[in-house]
Amino acid sequence: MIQDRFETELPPVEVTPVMRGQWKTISGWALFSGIFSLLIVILIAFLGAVVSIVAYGMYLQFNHPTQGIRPELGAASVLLLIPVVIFLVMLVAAIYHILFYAQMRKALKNGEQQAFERAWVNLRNHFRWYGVCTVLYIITILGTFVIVQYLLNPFRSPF
Amino acid sequence: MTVNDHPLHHQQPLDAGMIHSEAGEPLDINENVTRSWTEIAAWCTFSGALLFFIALILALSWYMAQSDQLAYISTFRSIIIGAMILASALPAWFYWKTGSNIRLGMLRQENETIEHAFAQMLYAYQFTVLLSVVTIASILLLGGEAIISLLKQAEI
Repeated sequence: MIQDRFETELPPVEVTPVMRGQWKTISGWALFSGIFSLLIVILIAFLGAVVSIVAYGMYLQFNHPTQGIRPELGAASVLLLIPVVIFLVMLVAAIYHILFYAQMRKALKNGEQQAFERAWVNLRNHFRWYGVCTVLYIITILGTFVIVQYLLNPFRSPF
Repeated sequence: MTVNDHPLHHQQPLDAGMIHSEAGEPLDINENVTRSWTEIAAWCTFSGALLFFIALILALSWYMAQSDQLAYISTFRSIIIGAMILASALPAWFYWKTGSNIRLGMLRQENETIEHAFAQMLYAYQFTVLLSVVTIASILLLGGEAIISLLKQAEI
């Protein structure tokens, strides 16, 4: 009912010159942030590749084929998944930021309503992606804590 | 500098054509846009709350370590932790305010509140970049300090 009252009595929100200036600057910062993230992604990929090569070399050196996989080397390969996950999370977020910039500049320059709507969808996707990944990260950390506590002492509450 | 002092806040409308695009076509804040804004507002509030929590955890850890006589924290490390607390708390505040102002602006249908929300989103972006720079610098400085102390121990 309150919503209806506002919709009938108040004029709708419209695009003002101030908003246009703000969106132009925000999209510029989004592009900067996207490029910055891409640089970090490239660095992570490079470091990940170097560590993988070194780890594989160590595996070949210390692990004879007849011995089977040694447990500590198996654990090390699981740890290598962490940079891969960070790489994927940051790459997708950077792509959404760059798309937001491109669509917003297109909308502001040519007045394309579709590009304007897509720009906001891309920014929403960026925030949604980071938000969902953060929630999953927190759940993983808490879950790992509970599992480790349980494995160390199965008869004791983890909290 | 407050949000009201920001140059974008005082930008005056030049003429009626400026309200539309450079090509003269109007941009409409329709249902699709407001739907995206609603979700952006929710995630901004979430980001703000999360960053506040991180700043709080950092501050509490520093305080607890300081009060413990066995754990010595050097002035150098205290400055780095302080910078990280500030760099987390500032974007947290602006993300939180962005979320609340977008919601308020859409509920009241006020252009000014929406403008205010985007001004704060701009600050949030700037401080997030600052947070990233501070985090990378802290990792490098603390890593450097650890390597130097290891080298000194090796010499002894």
